[in-house]
Amino acid sequence: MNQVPLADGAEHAGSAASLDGLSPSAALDLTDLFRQHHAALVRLAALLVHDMPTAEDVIQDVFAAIQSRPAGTRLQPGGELTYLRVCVINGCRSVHRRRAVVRRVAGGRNLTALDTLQASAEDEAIRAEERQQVLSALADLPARRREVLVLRYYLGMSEAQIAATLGISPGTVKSTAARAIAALAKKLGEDA
Amino acid sequence: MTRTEKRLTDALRAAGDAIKDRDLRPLPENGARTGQRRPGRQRWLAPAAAAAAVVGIATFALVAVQHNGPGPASGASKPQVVGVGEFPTGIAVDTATSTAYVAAGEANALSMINTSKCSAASSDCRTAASVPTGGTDPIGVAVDSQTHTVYVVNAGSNTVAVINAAACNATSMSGCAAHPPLVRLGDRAGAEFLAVDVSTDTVYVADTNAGTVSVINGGTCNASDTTGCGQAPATIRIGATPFPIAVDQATNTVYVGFSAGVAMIDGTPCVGVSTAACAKLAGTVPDANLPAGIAVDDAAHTVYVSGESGTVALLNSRACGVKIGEILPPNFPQCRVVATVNVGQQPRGDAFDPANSTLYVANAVSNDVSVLSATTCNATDTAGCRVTPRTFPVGASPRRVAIDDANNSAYVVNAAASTVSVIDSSSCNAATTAGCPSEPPAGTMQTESSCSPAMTEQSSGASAAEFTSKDTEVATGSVAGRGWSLWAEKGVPEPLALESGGLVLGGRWYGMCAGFPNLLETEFIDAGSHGIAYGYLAMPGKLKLAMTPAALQSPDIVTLRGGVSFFIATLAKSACAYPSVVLHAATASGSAMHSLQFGGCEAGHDVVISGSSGEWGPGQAAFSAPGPRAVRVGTQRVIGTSLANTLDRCSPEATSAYSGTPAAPRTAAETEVASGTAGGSRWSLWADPKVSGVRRIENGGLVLNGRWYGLCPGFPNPAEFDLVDTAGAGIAYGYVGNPGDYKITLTGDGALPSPATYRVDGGTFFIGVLPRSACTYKAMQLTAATSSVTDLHHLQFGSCQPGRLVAITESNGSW
Repeated sequence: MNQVPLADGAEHAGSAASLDGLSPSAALDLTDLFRQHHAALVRLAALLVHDMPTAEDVIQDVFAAIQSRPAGTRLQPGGELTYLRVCVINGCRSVHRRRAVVRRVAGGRNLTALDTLQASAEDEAIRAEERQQVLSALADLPARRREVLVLRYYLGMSEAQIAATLGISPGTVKSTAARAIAALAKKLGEDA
Repeated sequence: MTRTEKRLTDALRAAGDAIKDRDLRPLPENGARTGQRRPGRQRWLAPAAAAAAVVGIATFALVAVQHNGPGPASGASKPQVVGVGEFPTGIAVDTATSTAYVAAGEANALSMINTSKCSAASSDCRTAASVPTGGTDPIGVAVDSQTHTVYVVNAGSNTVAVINAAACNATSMSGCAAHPPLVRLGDRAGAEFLAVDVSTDTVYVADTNAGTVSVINGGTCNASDTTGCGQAPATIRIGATPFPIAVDQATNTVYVGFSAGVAMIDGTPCVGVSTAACAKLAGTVPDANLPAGIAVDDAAHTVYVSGESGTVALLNSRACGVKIGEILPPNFPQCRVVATVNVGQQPRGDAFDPANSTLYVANAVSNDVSVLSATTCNATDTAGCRVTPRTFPVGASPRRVAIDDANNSAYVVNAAASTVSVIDSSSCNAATTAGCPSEPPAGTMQTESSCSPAMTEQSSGASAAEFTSKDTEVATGSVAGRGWSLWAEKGVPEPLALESGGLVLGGRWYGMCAGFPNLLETEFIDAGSHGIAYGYLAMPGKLKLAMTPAALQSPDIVTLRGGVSFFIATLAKSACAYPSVVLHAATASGSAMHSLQFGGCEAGHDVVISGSSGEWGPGQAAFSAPGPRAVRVGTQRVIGTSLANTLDRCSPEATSAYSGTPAAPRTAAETEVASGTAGGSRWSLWADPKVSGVRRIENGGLVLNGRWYGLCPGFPNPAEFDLVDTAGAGIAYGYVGNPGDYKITLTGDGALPSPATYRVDGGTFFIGVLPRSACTYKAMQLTAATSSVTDLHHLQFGSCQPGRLVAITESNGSW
């Protein structure tokens, strides 16, 4: 609790060292990471939760959580983006958990909006019926399958990278992806 | 690539590409940033409004304030903002040139808004032009209308820039200098705000770090005469952290807020031309609300001091305004705080509008502005001070307000949004809020929590029948004469089960925050004149609770399966009466606090949570509440036994993929540190000799039957464990990195045999045989406890192959 007024100049260079427990250099790293990856992470989250505002919330929460970690903790050099993606995926899982609770109580389909994402996108292409079909079918897949497909076909990650990100074996990635594509094809009335 | 894969790739890319950067919420970090970068906490967190709550707990005092009055009337106007330089704070209006000058700290610039075009009457609010201030981190701005001079405090370089207002304004920048004349203050940077006494052409600058006020002779240091700018200003000692400053032009009294209250300077003898009388303060008024802004209503002889504790204190300027040469005696009885008013969260600057008898108070954390009636709440009539003033929303982190009488406009500086909100002061004031913005500017971060609010308050209060048919009743009781029951999702460990389950009260269902399990959860139900609070703490042990300002009355506390304590209690008042609360909870194993800010409420439903944050850690004292309010529970009921689980994530990736390979290539570079047998299988533990601490073991691994198995290779976790499926059986092993005599307990869907423990490298290695295949466990929990510390680690498992580590799909722990 502050015992002195929190000056507008509390943002002076000298006070930056207290950035929520991270060491100054770590804080700089985090700020840079935020700038570099914010938009890409929002896109990733949006594809997983199908709702732009929620996706942005997820990213905010991820950075807030990282920033509030105990003093001295640092991101592992070179693994920052992987770590952030894992956090984003976990955050998206939380969103789906909450939605699941709502569904349990309220019944019906997912209340949050794939429609939101689609409606908010200006690109004509995303409004095309075909893409809507694909995205809707993707949204209906179980979370793990959806995550694997997004990481594979949106981020272009290898099976090993997906395995490392999701904490599963490459074999599981492979089988999950195959099953997910098969399920997607079935929903779309195609041969996988 | 199949057709489906092609279509999927195309659809995903199109969807991703459709999200343009410009579609994202505008963040201070977005786009080009000029000047030096200083990642101050507030700046960084400002875009992350959910995170503001996290900071709020650690940094800001969440003080009991009365419930905010109703917001602006329906049909209120759309918000109008103008973009300015990055991270603006100070603002001043020069009506002579129709210019609002805004100090943009991060841009090292002074932005200029044309108030004749960007006002209540005209919405031509193009992004303001900016000019340099000749220094870094400009914060405070003041205008001397007599000398047509703008004074800007460069807090970073501790100078005051002297700018010609007549030639450097929103419509004419011909006189804007790249290097304006500067007045150098003391060596210690820290000056931030200033005030001008126009009758004496004296500039008073509050220097936060030096604890002084510098006195500049504006007569010889102004737009047309800079001969005196090179002189070192006289200083007057104030006390710790002088911050806001204002001048009562009627009495020439300078009011300076500092950490202990408000100091008065007799401005008549202590002027720029003669500073000999500046050596001594005229007096001080104790004020514990941490002054952050000062405004004077000289007609009503009232000084308004907004404080960071969420209040505005009122002084009587006739009692506190000093006569020439007068020194008020210590504790001068007439000069005191005559009343206080509750406003929003962390009020900063305020401005008085005499035309509408309204004090505008910028509330930096609640992102709104309070409109206080000076007609009914002043130094001589405090009847209206008991009413919490209305508020209206503005942009992120509003700091200061300036009034332009000529255009009936109030300008509110939104620091984190780098904008200024333009308010119609004639229709948005203490008497009427019809013209106030009804919503924050587009892109303003809402302080919505990622926790429970979005759905539980909407779906709460529904009939419980369908819900309870799917779940298991785990506890019952009564509160305020009404029966309650608690339900948990079947087959799910606590507290996940509670989060997916919920409370049934009077046949209606009320949920919990669903997300990654939080250690401490709280919800309020609007249940009439006495609200009901409920929640849980996921730490084993007898629970102590304390909530402020909403004291929990006779809480009923039940310890559930998994060591999770559920609590439910009545409140002294309606659940709608509390704008925010802080809950402290502690057991022998740890403590936690949870801060909630509430939005709207509706009878029979959970109260909307607009902000939520929490912190937790080991030890009772970590987040302990003030003692007197703590509720010691002597009748805590215990249902079932075992463990708890919590937050934080391990990062177990890859171990399942690479486990079970021949050990020889790995052990060649490792050091054996322990060995034994488990279930007939030989094992040995290996450490990385090149590192120390927990990583030594984490980088090493276990050899079991000649095969290699690793440990979680994430951040060093104090309590780590893994499962190996060994052809239909299972082995659990792990390492507790903290020193101490740990007792290891494993719990799956019931108690598991205690593993054998070994002291290794200052920590505890454990290994034990599971009663059945490792593949049959969906979740498991490790408790590592000494007499004073408990570490918890909860894992959920995915795929499983013989001879491999079981894949970990979720990992949470607390230590």
